[in-house]
Amino acid sequence: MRRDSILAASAPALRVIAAAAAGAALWYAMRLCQGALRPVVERAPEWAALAANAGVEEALRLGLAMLLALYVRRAGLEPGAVGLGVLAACSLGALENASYLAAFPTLDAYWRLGYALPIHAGAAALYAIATGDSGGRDGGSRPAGKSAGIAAAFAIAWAWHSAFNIVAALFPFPALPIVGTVVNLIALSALVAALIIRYGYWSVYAAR
Amino acid sequence: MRIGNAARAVRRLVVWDALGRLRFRFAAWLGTAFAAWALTLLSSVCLLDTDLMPSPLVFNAVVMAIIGSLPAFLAYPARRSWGIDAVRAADREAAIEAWLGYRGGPAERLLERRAIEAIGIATIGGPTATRRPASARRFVAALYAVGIAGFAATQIASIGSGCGISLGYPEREIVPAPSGEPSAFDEAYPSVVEAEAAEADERPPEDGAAEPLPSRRADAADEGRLEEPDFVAAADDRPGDGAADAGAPEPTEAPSGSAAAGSGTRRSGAVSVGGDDGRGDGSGGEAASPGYEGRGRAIEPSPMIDYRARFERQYAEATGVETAIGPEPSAETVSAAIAELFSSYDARVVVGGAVDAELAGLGAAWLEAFGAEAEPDAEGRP
Repeated sequence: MRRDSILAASAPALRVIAAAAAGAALWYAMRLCQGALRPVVERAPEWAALAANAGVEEALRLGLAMLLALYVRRAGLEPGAVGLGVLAACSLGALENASYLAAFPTLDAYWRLGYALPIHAGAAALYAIATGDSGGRDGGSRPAGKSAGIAAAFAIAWAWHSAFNIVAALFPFPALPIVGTVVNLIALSALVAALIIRYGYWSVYAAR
Repeated sequence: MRIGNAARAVRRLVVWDALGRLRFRFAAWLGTAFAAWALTLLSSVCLLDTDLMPSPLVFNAVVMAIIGSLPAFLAYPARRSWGIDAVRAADREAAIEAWLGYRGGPAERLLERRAIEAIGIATIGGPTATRRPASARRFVAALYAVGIAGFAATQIASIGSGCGISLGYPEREIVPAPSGEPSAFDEAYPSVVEAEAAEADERPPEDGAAEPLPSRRADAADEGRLEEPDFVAAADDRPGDGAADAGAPEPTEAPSGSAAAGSGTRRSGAVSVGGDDGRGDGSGGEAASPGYEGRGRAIEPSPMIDYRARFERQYAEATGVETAIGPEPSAETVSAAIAELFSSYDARVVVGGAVDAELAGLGAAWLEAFGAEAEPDAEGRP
């Protein structure tokens, strides 16, 4: 009984640690997949290679989000627990930032906090919205509708991620870091607010 | 208030509550980030000059991870009950909740009217978000307190250790004075240290000893910092600054702490006069990276020092002798050095070319007139 209570009390912390570890594993898996894909994409135009790499990252992130949603449903957790995917994205972003910092040790790496990290976190929030069950009375949308929503979320996240990568690599301009930061932070704020409302307040929205 | 407006008012109520929760989470993130940043700074300053001192890469990666945790704080799992909790907090008599939960029927109008009244009362003066628990607010306040205490302790330790105010990776602005404790280099190469000490003891103190040279201990500290990436001016090629010089071979080693008062050992812009110590008769190349003292952004370069260093280099190239006029040479020393520079330049000027026939004739006439004691040389010059 006492052990159960200790486990219940420490469960949130354990989930946070597990999500952070999942983000680190996702980062490593991304590097492996992109390395395996390199011989193929290096023959393609640069924009196609950038889009392919973004596609790999988004596909793996979506896979993690779906696994997380499945775990939440099976474990009977609050539907909002799919928001842990954002925490995993932050962990991934921190590792990616560190790797960039090691390769390009300048203060410009801090721009990644506004330009790159919100792309990861925003995509994770979008997948969390799409893959989880809502907090409404109906217990979630129909499977067909959910699949369409997941596909749409993947397409949006891939296009968004690819667009920012391509612009940064092929069409940079001096104001790009500021513009990208503002646009990405606005998008991330909207997605986080939508995530909170969907899993915290949807019962009120669904009632009327 | 109509039904559509009532539904909109309820949604505005819960959106306001959601924003209140996000504001509180943002405040919690800010307190956590502040405390973590202050403690990271404090540990870096406390571990200064130790093997456990984090590298700039680790320090900045940690700071970036701390800042980048904001989305995780904001998107931390929400509870399903937040919406109804917000409604209950605004309506103690559950009129709104009863209306929300009623799915059509004869009591629809009655519940609706009561809900509208309750919403009207709840939104007088604007919607308000539910207050967070006192324990959560105390915890966030404690985070800020830890951050403030950590920041204050960091600055005290940083100023005490010669780094000044540290807001980023701690850098020592003041070269530490040599102490009697042996450094790692001293322990690793005792024979070199003894030889340098003996050499310094044998050397007369007036031999260019105007400048107390920094200890090897200070140089070792500088070497460690040179390995740091220059986050501001990585592409800046200022000599003696940044990582670009880290791998370059030093012309010579500076003397040890016991030999700090000695002189004649070459270092940046300071070489011994006249080669009297047997070291200054080199090829006359560039003595060392001249022109700048200190490192990083702590000390701005001095054009006067740069000018003197250039002069010394040209002097060494012209005369083939490396000299040290010291960082603060006397007027006599500078005068002698300049005289030597230009006299040696004159000595190397060779006047050649064809001899004027008229002058040659005059010379021959002069020889005939005044005797054979003044023999012309091979070029016909008198």
